[in-house]
Amino acid sequence: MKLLVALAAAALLPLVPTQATQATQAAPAARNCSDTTATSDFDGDGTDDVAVGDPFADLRGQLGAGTVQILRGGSGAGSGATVLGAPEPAAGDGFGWSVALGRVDGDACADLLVGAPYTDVNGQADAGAVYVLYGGTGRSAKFVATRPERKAHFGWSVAHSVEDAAVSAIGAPHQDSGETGTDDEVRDAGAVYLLRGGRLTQITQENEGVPGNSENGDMFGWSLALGRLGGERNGVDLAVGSPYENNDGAGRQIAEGMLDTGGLTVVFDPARAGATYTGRKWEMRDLVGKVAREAPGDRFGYALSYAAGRLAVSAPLADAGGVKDAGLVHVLPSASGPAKGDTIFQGGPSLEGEPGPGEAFGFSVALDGTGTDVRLAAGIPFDGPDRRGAVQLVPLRTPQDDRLITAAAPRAEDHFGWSVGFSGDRLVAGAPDASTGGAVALVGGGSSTPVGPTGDASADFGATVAG
Amino acid sequence: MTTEHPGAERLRPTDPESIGPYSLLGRLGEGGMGTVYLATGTAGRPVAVKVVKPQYAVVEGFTARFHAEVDNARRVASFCTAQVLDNGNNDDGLPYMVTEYIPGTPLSRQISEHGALEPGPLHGVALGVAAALAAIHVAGLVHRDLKPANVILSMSGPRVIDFGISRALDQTHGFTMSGELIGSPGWWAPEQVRGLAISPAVDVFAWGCLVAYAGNGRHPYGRGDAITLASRVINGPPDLGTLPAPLDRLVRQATAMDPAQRPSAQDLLLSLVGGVPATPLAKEPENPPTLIATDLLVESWQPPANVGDDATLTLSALGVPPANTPNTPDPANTPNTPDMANTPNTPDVANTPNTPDMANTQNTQNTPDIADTANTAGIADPADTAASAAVASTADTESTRHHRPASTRPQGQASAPDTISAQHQGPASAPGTIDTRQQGTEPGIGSATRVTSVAAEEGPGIVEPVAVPVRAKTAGRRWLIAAGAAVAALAVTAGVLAVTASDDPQTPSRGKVAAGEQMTDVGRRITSGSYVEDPQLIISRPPECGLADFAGVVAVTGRFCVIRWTLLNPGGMDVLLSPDPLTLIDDQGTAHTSHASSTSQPNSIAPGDRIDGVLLFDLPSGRKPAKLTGHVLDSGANVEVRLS
Repeated sequence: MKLLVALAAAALLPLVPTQATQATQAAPAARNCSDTTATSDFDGDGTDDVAVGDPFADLRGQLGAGTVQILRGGSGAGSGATVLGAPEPAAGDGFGWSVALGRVDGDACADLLVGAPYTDVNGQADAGAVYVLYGGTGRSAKFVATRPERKAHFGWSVAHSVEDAAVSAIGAPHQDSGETGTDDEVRDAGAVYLLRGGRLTQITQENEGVPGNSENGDMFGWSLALGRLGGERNGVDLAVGSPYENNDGAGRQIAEGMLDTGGLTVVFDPARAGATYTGRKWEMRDLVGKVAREAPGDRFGYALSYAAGRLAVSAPLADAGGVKDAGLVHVLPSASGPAKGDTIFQGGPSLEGEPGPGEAFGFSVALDGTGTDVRLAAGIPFDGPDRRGAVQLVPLRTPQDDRLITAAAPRAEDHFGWSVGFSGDRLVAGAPDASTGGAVALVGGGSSTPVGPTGDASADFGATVAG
Repeated sequence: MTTEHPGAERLRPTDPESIGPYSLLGRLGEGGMGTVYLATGTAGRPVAVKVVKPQYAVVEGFTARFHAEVDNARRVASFCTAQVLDNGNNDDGLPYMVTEYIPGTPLSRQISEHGALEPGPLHGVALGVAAALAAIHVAGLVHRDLKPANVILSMSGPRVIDFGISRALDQTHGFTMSGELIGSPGWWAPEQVRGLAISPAVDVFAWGCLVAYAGNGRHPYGRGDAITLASRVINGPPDLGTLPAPLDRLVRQATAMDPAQRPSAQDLLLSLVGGVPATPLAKEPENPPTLIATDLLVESWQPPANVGDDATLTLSALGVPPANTPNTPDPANTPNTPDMANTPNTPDVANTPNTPDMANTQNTQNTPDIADTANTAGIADPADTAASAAVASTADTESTRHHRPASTRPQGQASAPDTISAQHQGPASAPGTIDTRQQGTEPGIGSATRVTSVAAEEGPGIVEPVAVPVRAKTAGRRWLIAAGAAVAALAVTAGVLAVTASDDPQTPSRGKVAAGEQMTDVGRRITSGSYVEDPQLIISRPPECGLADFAGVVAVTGRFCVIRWTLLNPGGMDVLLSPDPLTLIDDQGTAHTSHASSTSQPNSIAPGDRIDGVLLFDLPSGRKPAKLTGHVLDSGANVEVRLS
């Protein structure tokens, strides 16, 4: 099996502030990236910031080019945000489809990874691109796949770990495998790219040591997380969700078995591996037990998040507790040990709220914390009779202390909880279909502050969040 | 003492004299789970009291679940439902619930004795039951046992009864444990028979069967025992017979085997409302929901000819005077009476403070259908001045003796904080309905329109629609025009149409959204199915209109409106797209097909794909785009996108 090593196509481009940026940067923003201690401080003012993606926003006349807005830490609602876009936006790029905050360069300011999976590259429509925006500097870099492929959607997902000298991962779940037009062609098998030190490395299920096979429509790389999951002590392990994988046993099958049950793969220390990887793979039934009988369309691996040695993986259309498509989240304590971890779902022991059909608990997930003090946020964007949405916040040590969080003034079809994240001590929840143009809520200190988009070019503000 | 009413029988020797504070008058029926009595409360108002059978009550936890469920049901706005008023345990510790007593004829009896409904009443039943389901579903409940026997044709419109406790039952006798299905043979949805998860879609399925039954006079699955019927339900589509448009299409969609393919109750409501010719729209283009409703008021509920006579037979036969019964000498069936809007508040009507026993002590002229009229006519909270004004002016046109029947409810009901508006910022509290009120206070809008505004007011008052029973006698037949069905439907619909206006989130660049501003679906992901599996349509920007030409093409009729769209397939399947582009409805209700220069939609959309395009409409001058409607997917429900 051929190991494809993608070379970085990183072009350092100046990050051109958009008009909206200029309009809203009247507020003084300190630019101190040498000694900020906040972990997600993008602008260097010493407080944790929040990045909010709006992949359908217009930018400089480019319809649906997409933007990311930085909500400055410590600022309340109404103080405006900094609107960021691709340096050369094009209509329909979808910039902001995925976002992650991390540390890519050496300074203390957080850097932002932004996926724009519908970016055309070298004439390949919707091949996709990822931008790294270096916090506090105005610099940015654009990454594309080595062999940009039509509709591969490179940048569909992004993840970052500050460990092991910073590792990033980029998903291209609709990338095909094998030569186009040959019998080897496998559509939408999916691929993941590891970004480290400015170099991209491609990982697929065909790589030696990566469990599983590339099959039609697996969408390997749909979701990603990076963290310490049982590989080398100082290394970073890669978790990859493939929610459209079918449960069809070993070997390569096409459209057989139980459809779209999904899968989770952990590749140990991919940044340190040579030509051969080591990894482990789970289906939902391996972990979840009796909570939900595996059924077609569970979408196990739909969303992932990592914190403090734990991995949260969701199956938003699992029939948890017998309720169709109610959804669940499983928290895995380690990818290498025998421990299977805990399944968290509405209707489960000690959890507030009732499961509802199609509510999709775990559509989005975020983990946060240190040591054993870890909390999970699970988005339930179609919760309630009218899909107003909610977020369940669950302390893993004392799940009975969970809270069901809704928008301060919920409306039908807001889809609150479409995205979730943590920034400092605050929970961030996106409601991209709230009026007008979407919204996020910053939840912390016993209060929930709704924040709407800055400018009037927004359409899907809150589709993604990162802190 | 038996009466013409099928359910109202004399009490049996084993029956108690009272349950809680309610004195029993007769039996209304006995079902699998309990017995229903006709009773009077402390205020003298007739109510229905349902007592659970002992075998349920002994199941551990049942009583607690029962009361929890009833508490939920009490949140359901009385849009075409029998309002749940109270609950408690009787002397034996058996839980009971109390609802409004709805005098009238069960739909089942109407059909079996008088045959299929005429198109007029049929449309009213379809609308009223859809409105009831929308209200039930928005409160997070599923009826699960919707059937003709549970729809009462009253003078004020069709009313759905007997909801709210099925889940408590289900959790007690889950069908997986006992083999017992909640619901009734022939009205089950396929997924109920299969023992799959229950969702509001089961009620929608039952709605489809019910409308087909009412329209054809025969059951869509025929006759037979439970096993036979269950087998037919899961093995084939129902025989829907012949139904007038648009009911034929809606019923077909509602009875789809796959629950995901069925429209929601709100969809049904919208379609039923949208199907009404919207002639008055021209006068008030900026507020379509209001005016559509005005239209509906003219068209909607005509009870079957025999219903009016039944309405109070039971009560009078049982020696119960109907509740507050203002005779209405003046038909005043003119929703568009300009001066009504300016009628000043009449203090002795709606502002009468809580006078609990008024309903029965006042004016008990036994006009047969009146009891229910009173039930629906004045349930606004007098503390709510806007509501009071609305009711006052309404009542003023009929009779200033019209007191507030709500006050006859158990205290605590009217002022209960657990209202729709407080807990479910759903339809009833949507700004669109506030808008309705503002419209309604202007001259030229019908009284009924204005009255719907009651539902829109904020505050702790119970949010309920107020029907305006305006009647005229024509050739010995009572025509109730503009009754509960239409008004309730409107209250829900207006909410559905305008759910989004918000004073939050705070948008720094825009500030607060002004109250009453019409909200749109611009910027929203819209799907006719699942957000996880099915394609989404996004109209990310408002339409661009007034263009003389676009991309080299010149508008012929008027000016171009350009609507940019994005179609996204987040799921894992290739999905076939509808060959027909969406249709634009303008602000006067006229439909426009898209211009040939619009982006043609491909046949299908692959997993992960995003398709961007434009729809181009050549609109006559002065017209503005109101909404897009049509099918996005080749198979899938109708989609509607509000543009203004």
